[in-house]
Amino acid sequence: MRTRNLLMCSVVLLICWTGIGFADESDAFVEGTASVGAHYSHFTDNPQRIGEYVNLDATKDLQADMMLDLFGGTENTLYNINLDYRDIATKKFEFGVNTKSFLSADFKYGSFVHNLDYDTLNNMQGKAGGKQVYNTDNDPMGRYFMEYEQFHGDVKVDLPFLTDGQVALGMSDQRRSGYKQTMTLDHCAFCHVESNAQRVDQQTRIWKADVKGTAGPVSLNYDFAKTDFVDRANSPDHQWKSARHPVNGAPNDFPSRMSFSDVTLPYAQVADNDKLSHNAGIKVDLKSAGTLKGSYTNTNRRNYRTGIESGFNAGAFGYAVKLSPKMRLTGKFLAYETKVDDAFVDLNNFRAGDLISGNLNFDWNRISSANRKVYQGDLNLGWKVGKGKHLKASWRYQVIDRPAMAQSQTTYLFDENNVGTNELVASEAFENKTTVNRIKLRFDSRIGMKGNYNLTYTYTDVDMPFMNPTAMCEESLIDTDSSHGVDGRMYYFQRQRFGNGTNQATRAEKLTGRASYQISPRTSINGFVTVARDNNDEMNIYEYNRDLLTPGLNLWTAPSDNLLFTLGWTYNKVTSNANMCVPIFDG
Amino acid sequence: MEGSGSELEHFDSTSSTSEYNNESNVFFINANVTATEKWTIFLEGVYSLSKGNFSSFTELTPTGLPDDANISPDNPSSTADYDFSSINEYSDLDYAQLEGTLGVNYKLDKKATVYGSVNLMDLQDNQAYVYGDLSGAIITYAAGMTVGF
Repeated sequence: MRTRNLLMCSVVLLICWTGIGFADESDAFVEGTASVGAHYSHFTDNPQRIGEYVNLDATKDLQADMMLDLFGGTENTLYNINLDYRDIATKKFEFGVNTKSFLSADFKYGSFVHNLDYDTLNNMQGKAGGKQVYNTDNDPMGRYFMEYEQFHGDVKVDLPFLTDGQVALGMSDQRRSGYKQTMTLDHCAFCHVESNAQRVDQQTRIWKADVKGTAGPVSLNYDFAKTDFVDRANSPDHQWKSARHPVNGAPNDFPSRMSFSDVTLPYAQVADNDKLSHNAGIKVDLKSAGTLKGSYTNTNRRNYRTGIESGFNAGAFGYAVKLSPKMRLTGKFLAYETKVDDAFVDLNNFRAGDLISGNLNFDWNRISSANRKVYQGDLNLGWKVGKGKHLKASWRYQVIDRPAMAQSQTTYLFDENNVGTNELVASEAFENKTTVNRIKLRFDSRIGMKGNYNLTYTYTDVDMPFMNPTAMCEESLIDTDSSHGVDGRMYYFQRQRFGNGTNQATRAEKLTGRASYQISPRTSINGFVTVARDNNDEMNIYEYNRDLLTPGLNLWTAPSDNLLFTLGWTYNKVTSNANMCVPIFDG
Repeated sequence: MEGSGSELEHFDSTSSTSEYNNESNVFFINANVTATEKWTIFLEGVYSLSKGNFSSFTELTPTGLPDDANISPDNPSSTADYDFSSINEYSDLDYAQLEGTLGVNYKLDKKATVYGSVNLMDLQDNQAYVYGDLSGAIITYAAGMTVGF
């Protein structure tokens, strides 16, 4: 195979070098670059991370490679061909043709290998049966990787009866195949983690159809897309042991306290799904009165395994006008809604056989935290304040309204209105409305005729940013009396967490400066620095901070006609904080 | 998932805020030297140093426990271990990575060039995490011919 590849590469090079023409018409032309060669790679120690995108199967072996960049044309047609072959799994091909009349087409194909990490599980080395987490690696020599292949093609046909009128049809086909590491965790009485290799065979296909055109002052466009995702690999199965009490090992009635016990089930399942989207836009040129734009987008996604559907609807319009020869104002408004079907979580009754203090029903209705309505307005003012000097000011106002910011805080308390019974009251979804005000100022200026710089300052104020409410830190139950449960018992599901956690700021500032300067005809320098601080002092158990510093410097110099250097340095420092809460138990 | 009122003692939580520090330096060089009319030497290199670590969770000793509680740090007979001083180190990251290519071109004529190069990719993992020691290197030798047309 390798010999044949090398021969094919050589033929391409020979054709180019000996000047065998691709076109013999007098007005035809062709130009480009071609190379053929070979490479040999070898590795030491662990190549998986440093060679994350290297086809390791092609190392320690001589590989032929080739590259061709070709651009040509005739009186009415331009075309390009680009080939890059590195090994059998790492290659790229592009072909494009564009006629002056009404038709153009592009085709692209590429493939590469992505090596994946392998968790050695060495941090879980307890002994079986000792209430310690221990592991079994069922694939100890496993190597995990994905082979990617992607094809994209599109054809564009001009509509001569419209200005800039065009219909475009396109198709993409992406494949991911290989093996990834997946794990199972048995019941807490066993604390057994098992690692396995899982086959992956996924395909994503996208079909697109777009049409656009302008008639007089009105421009219209409509885009349609259909996406299908399918995973043809079978989900692996795992047998979960019969559930036992994690402390005394008693099996009596314990399976009814779990969702499953002594059963073989599939795990690490990937759901097939599809997506259908429509996007329509309009632009009206109002001459001296400005420009008006509007658009509407509708997307629906279906999950074939769960039956859950999600919808997305968005509308936007904008207006731009010149207030004066040196001042331009634009305004934009955007509104969208994301709605995912609610999911009913149907669980077995907890301690079904215990009719005195058990037989509790934990069924609940999950409302997706992705659900939201968003309203956003932007005003931007551009002002030429002097020769080579521009000032931009913008203001954004955004409201994000979520019916359930996070439902992970769901806990169950015994009904205080029915003390002594086992009626449970679930906590309600935590509604939240986030309001964002953002102001941005940017100043651009030239430094004489040899340089320029710009400064950007952004201030953001957020009321009620996204957070995980009641996610950590627990109230003491030590003084709790029997009114909270039947038979004076206290259950872990009654543990009341109260601490909110987030890495989202209520106040954020960011300052960025960039400058470039030509020191001499043979030397130029550019640099940048970003300083940012995020802060949230409105949580109930800690104050969140995040500080960022990123400077960078680049130098280009050609000390003589024979020497050319580019040197660069970038530094990045981020300091943030998080809170950890440890519940304290005895018993 | 169960505990009894008579046996369970739940003394709320103890908490501590830790800082996460992430720092990186990236240097790059690109050099092209036309040694003679026919010989050109080129060098490309990127060297990066990156670290990430949590500060110590030093305040995690519970303070609200009764002195005589079995798990109280003030109880002389307690065997409870509240030493969290090293857990912040479990996820320390410290990488040094070098990627570089040194090569030479020789012009055969106006349109044709032969080339040779050596490429090194090297990673030093100074704080192995759950993926084990990721240190490794790949070296690649390449040679071939390029034609412009």
